[in-house]
Amino acid sequence: MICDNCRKNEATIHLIQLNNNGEVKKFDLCKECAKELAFLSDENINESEFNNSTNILAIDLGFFNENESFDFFNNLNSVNKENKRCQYCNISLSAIKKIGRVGCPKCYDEFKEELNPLIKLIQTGIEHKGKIPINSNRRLKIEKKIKDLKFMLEEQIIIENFEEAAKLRDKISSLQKKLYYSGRKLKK
Amino acid sequence: MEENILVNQNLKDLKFKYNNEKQQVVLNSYVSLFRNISGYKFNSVTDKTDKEAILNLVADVKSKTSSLKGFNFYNLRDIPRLQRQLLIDQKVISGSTVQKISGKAVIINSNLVDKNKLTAITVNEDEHLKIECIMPGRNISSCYKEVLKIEKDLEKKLSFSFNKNLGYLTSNPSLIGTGLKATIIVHVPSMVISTRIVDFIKNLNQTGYGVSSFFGEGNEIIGNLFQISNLITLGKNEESIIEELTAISKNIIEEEEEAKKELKSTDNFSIEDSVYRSFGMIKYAKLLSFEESLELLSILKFGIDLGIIDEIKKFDFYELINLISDSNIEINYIKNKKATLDEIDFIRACVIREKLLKDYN
Repeated sequence: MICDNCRKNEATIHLIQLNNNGEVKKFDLCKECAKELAFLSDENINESEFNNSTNILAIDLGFFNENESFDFFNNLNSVNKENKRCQYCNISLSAIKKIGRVGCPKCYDEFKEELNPLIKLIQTGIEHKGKIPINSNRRLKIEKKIKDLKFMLEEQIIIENFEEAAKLRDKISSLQKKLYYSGRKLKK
Repeated sequence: MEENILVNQNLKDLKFKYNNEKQQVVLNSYVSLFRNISGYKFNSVTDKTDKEAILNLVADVKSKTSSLKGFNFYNLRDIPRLQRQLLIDQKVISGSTVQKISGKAVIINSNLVDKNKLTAITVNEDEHLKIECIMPGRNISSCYKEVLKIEKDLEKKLSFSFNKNLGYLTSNPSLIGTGLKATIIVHVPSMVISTRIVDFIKNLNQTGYGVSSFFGEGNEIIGNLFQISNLITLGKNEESIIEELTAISKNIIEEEEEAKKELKSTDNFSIEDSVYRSFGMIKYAKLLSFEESLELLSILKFGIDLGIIDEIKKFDFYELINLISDSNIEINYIKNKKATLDEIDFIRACVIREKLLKDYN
């Protein structure tokens, strides 16, 4: 894992903060950057001491509080774009950075370029694997089903259960056909 | 009369029953689903009119949803200060909500005593809706089932902001995807004393789970109480989050048990000393702050479990710490008068003596 600050060294210090509002901040830093950013003093940067002291507790439990400036939104790449606004809700990138919240569902599209790297930093990838709304359209439901089946297929291949894998593969291809035809109908 | 509606019906009896010794490690389970109603901006930018519209929409849906019949709808501004504080203490509404209460509401079930669970929908906090279920002990998956059921019923009449790549959308990017936050509250004095907790937290952080102090702010640990929640909401499905946290909760019970055994087998005067010091404090102190009480009660509970002390009565740790919160003391013992901090601390010390001392009359 690469350090979030310098983007050069291997990150060995992983900081996660969960504040009372349930907001989460996660940083992976290399020793040098952690030192530079003053999260660690000289004495506890020493690995052995670091591992064996309550300092890590102090750090994990929110060494940086609300008032301190190390907010992950500060990583938001907004050079020359501070004034860029969402055309739906009119929130500016600098406001998003300031409050740590976006303004509307469309913001995720409008500021995709800026937000996606951040989302990758705090989440596992940028692909939803959970449930979908019950009232979503048929197409979305099929797509979700295919996604789930593909995941199961990978699992079966890993454990070398090829018989089951073949069944899953067939299911996927029949669903993909369904999707293709429903797409054609839509176009007409 | 208006004053007491919420307390009488719903929250005064917020006393969960604990009947298993092991449940005193995992004290409570919480599951929340964060949802936004499509067609509206997020609450980071909504104005009063938007918020009112959302509120009215939800109130309407509530009245038409038969499964929410047992729930009561309260505008936050109609709930008296103390009772709002009680809701904050129970983590039903967030502390920051109360600073700006207009346009916010909570829909809460009134069948708490029978069902031993608290379900609530908060409207217009950071996200439009937070559907939350709280249960005593290690009950993450039952909590999840409950919120899922409520969500399904709401979804019949409401449509939520959703994007096929990013899942359910929230104003806070750390909640997108499942919009699911699952939390357990744990009391682990043995792990703290034996410093096992340090490695435990480190491992959790690496697997996408965060630990923070339950009552303390920042790096302050009070009463050896921690909350453990999932940090990741996107890229994992709901079931794996619930399963993982259930496994963590099982794991932490075992770890605490082992740490306790280890401490039991070693003669340690300093542990005995701190247990008896705490005993002295609760026996003789006239004023006890909430934080100090948490510390003392945690050590005494630990002392009883380890068989170090038998001069005090066995007590239900979580029930007692709920009972002695500022808002509960004010509501139950002081009633409608504004109490001074000293008065609260004095009554708290009395309540603790009454519950713990064998010869108290």
